[in-house]
Amino acid sequence: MDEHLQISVREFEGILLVDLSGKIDAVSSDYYEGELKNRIDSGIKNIILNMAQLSYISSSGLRILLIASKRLKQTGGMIVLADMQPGPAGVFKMTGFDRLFPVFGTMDEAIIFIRAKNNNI
Amino acid sequence: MNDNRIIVRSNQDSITILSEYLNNLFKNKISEEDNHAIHLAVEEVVVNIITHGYNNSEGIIEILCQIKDSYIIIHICDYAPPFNPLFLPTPDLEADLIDRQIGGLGVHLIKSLMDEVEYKKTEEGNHLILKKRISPHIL
Repeated sequence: MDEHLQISVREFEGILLVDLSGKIDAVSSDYYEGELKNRIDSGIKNIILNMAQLSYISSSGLRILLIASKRLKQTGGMIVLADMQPGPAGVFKMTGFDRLFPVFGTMDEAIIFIRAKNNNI
Repeated sequence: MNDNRIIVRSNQDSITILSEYLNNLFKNKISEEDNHAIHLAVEEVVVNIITHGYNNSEGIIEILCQIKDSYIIIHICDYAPPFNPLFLPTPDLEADLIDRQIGGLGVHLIKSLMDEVEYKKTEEGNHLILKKRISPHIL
């Protein structure tokens, strides 16, 4: 529970791939909100969050995820999650967030899902 | 572990200070899962006190940690106007993305993560008691 949040982003086939590591709490959530908001403002529609190194997320982080996801839905986009650790996975289950977001075991599966969704439009 | 007390100011720095404090008390002494639950519940309580209790103005938060009969008990006291967070309504967890309310999840998480949560109004403010039964471990 002592890791600072680190975010690295890259684009792949128009999808924003976001690697999260550390923890998203009430302190670090502003940074995380800023990163997502800037990308959505610049026209990104689909985002995959790689949660493999994320050990912790509190309701402050869930709130931002929900706001970003509601915005993306208006443009036909979405947020997809990959490779969650047990702690955050438990938080998603307790809050019903596991039903609001597609969750995959690996980044590859998440990319294949978004590709298929885009091809069906 | 004897009773252990810390006093922090009601601001965002307290979240980081309390995380370090809880790590010092519990990391590698209780299971990772229990440690995670305690961190999360304490953060959610303190964020509620900062934003709802003290309304983002100056204040003090006192925390006392105890271990009794395989329970970790955490007392969290503030001197803000009376406010029982347990009365806050739980958002509809079945709602879909469009209808999902933003906010209100903190208290739901506290109740879900802890075995018991009790609120007491005090003469000077509020007293919340969190109880978490811990798996047998080192302590």
